[in-house]
Amino acid sequence: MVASPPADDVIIRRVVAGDVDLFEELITRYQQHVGRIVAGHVPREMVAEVAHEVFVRAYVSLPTYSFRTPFAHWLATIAVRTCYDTWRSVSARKEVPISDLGEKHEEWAERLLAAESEERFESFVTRQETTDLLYRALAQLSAENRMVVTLVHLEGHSAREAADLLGWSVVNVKVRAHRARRQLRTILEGLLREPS
Amino acid sequence: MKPSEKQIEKLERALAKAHVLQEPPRFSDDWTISLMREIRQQATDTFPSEISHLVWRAAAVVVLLSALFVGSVLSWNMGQADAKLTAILAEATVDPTLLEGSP
Repeated sequence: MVASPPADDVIIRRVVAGDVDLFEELITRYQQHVGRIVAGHVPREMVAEVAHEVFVRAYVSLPTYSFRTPFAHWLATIAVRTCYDTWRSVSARKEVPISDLGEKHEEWAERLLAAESEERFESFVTRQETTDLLYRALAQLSAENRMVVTLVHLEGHSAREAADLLGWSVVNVKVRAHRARRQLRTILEGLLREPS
Repeated sequence: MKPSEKQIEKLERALAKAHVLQEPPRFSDDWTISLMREIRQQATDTFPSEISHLVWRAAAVVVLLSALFVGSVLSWNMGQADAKLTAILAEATVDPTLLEGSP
């Protein structure tokens, strides 16, 4: 008979008690979960570095984990806040003016908008230009607005869920979500505006 | 020409869909090894929580004992001072010659 793997709470208690090597089991179990969250907030080339930071922070904070919420949710909170901190520290350097969007992206946008069928639309969505455009558009936003746009408008979290993940008030998230979306639409408008 | 509301919405929908369709990254074994190296480093750099709790408790006990010691020394000193003062006053009242020399 094969023994079932220990539950998360058993592993966490043992890690906190000093069995550091067992933390690798938590990394194995949750690296996809963390990777998915982080990849949603930072460019692909930064994902490994930020995910690394998420697990280090999780290890350091592990003694404060109360077992009241699922570990995956607790880890998600750390992942989102680490992404936010990352954007706060790099936002000044990461600002990309809208004029940096090349002709390739303008052409892509025109063809996307001309797509009549859903199938044709989907074929444009999966192209690299879409992801490029998404990151370039998000790079125009402040770290706060970027997090809110990603969580609420792109991932479909409720204001309450986003507030919980970011550690902000629900009112703050709602106000920011409204402003940030308006700002994103202005950026997209700039992209679609025909060159004079 | 200003793009229409419908065009903006279509572009927004495309970006949201692209975001959701992103493949989750795969981390290499080297990434895990490097991460565990840092975790072990963190573990040696910081006290385990149980030890740090013990340290805090011991510190609290030491502060309490110090306060008791200082309090008792102060009260003993006060007692000594009181005794000396009492003795001086007693001597002053017992020795009437001190007053005899006065005109």
